[in-house]
Amino acid sequence: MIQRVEALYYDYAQAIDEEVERWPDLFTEDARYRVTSRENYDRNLPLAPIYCEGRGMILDRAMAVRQTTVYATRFMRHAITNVRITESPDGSIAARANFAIYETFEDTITRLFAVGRYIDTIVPSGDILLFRDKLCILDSNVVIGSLIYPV
Amino acid sequence: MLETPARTPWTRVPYRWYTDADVYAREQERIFRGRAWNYAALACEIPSHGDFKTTTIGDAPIVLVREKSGAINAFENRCAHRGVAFCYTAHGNAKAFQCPYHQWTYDLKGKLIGVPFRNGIETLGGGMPAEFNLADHPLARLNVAQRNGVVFVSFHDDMEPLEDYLGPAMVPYFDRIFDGRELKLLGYERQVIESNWKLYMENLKDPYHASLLHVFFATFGLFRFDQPAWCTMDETGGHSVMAVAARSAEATEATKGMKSFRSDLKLAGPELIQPVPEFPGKAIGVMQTLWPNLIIQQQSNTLATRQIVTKGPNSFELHWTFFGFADDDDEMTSRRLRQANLVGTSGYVSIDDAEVLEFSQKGATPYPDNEGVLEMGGIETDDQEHHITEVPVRAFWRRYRDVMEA
Repeated sequence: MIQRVEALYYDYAQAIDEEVERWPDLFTEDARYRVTSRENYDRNLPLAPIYCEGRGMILDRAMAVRQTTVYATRFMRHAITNVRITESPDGSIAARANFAIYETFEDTITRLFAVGRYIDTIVPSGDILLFRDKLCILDSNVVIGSLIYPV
Repeated sequence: MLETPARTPWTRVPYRWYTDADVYAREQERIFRGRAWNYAALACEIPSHGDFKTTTIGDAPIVLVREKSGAINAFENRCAHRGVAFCYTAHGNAKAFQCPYHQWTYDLKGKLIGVPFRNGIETLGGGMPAEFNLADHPLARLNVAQRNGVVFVSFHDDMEPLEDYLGPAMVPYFDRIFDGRELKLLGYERQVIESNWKLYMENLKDPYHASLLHVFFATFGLFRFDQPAWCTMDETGGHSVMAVAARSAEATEATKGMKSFRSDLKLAGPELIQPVPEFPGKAIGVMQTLWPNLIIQQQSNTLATRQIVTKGPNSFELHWTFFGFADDDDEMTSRRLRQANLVGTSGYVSIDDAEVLEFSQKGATPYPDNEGVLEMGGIETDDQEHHITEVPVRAFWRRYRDVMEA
């Protein structure tokens, strides 16, 4: 199972970095997706800079990156590591992983944009695995500029 | 050199005001540590005796703490001994503050109550001179004012009451959100933006850009030229309100001139922008900017304070504190959290602003002797009943010139 979960994470990274329109396909219809800071997480504060309930809101996030948001062109690169899983009798999988995200602009050298961890629930859907709940916790409380792409 | 119109100097902004280190230093002294009530916190962040938080006013780190009586005290985060920023955690609860360097200890009023080895060691000597008096070395205190759960501080000793500082045009808008109900902290967002801090203030005083830059606003009808809207300033020009009433997402005469209106786009999760009315009056969105460091945001049902923290002339941090009310039901809290997607570090409209501000800084920096032009909606600084204007920005520069050139 760990190989299948790792494959999902690697696909997730590629989707965000190279074909963000495909990123919502990796979530269930009722999925929740949140990106928050260490500070909000540690203090049980519910606010999350990205807060999606249901795949509709996740689709809108991908739409905004491509259609409505004004930003300097940049390229993101996710490195996802330290994947660990716990399988439940109901078939769902509790998964944790670390991420590092690098950011490259057209006219600058690459910089480290964000580091953090995922706390996720993954479920089988037919032959594939999908995220039913994904919580991304940024290690830093301060974002460099803005969170334009999903984490 | 600059040819600034003598009668309406606020229609021009020299670009050096965004980049010059001397201008920045003067702002710290005249504006943030001058005659101003700076936003510092919501009282609900430090609800109990001994609760503290650190924050920054302009460049200056400070500590806010609630003492036993319930009063909130504010100090410079600077030990009276060697200047150490003694409080190095963002928030917590303390019985006293102890500097880590030499363990000088202060009570919650800022009084120095302990100096280790003050009398030396009997067999070895040492210690402070006999005339050294603890009472002469307290923490430097700031003045504190509160209104309906919002905490302001001032480095200035002779401040007028907060209500007079805000003025009769601003107090009703302030009280519209902060109506005395208990506030509930929902969470924080923080970001660093590589531009001068004043560009952010201007951005929140500039309704002209909102329909043009923000495709999301224009397309989904949250903030658009063809909505009833108005701009109100206080007498000094430093504070302002941009308000908009009634959503409309349909194509109209006005949207023909807006490249930002995209009739082809639909939201897959439209619950994001389904607000419920909760405040008196017809406004559905109000941005209130209070000199010098605060924006109070009501965008539909998402509420936040946005605090500007300066980081030199070319950079600032924006600290967002999202809140609701203690009597909100779960549905209202969820609504506030969902709508928070519109704003903040990943906001559907806020991202555009953060990016464009960095473009502004980039464009202006090499040309300190050039200047920006502010004539949309005329050249004066009076209130206007529409959003095809830059009038609150002009009023801001009127106040700025008054403070900086006095």
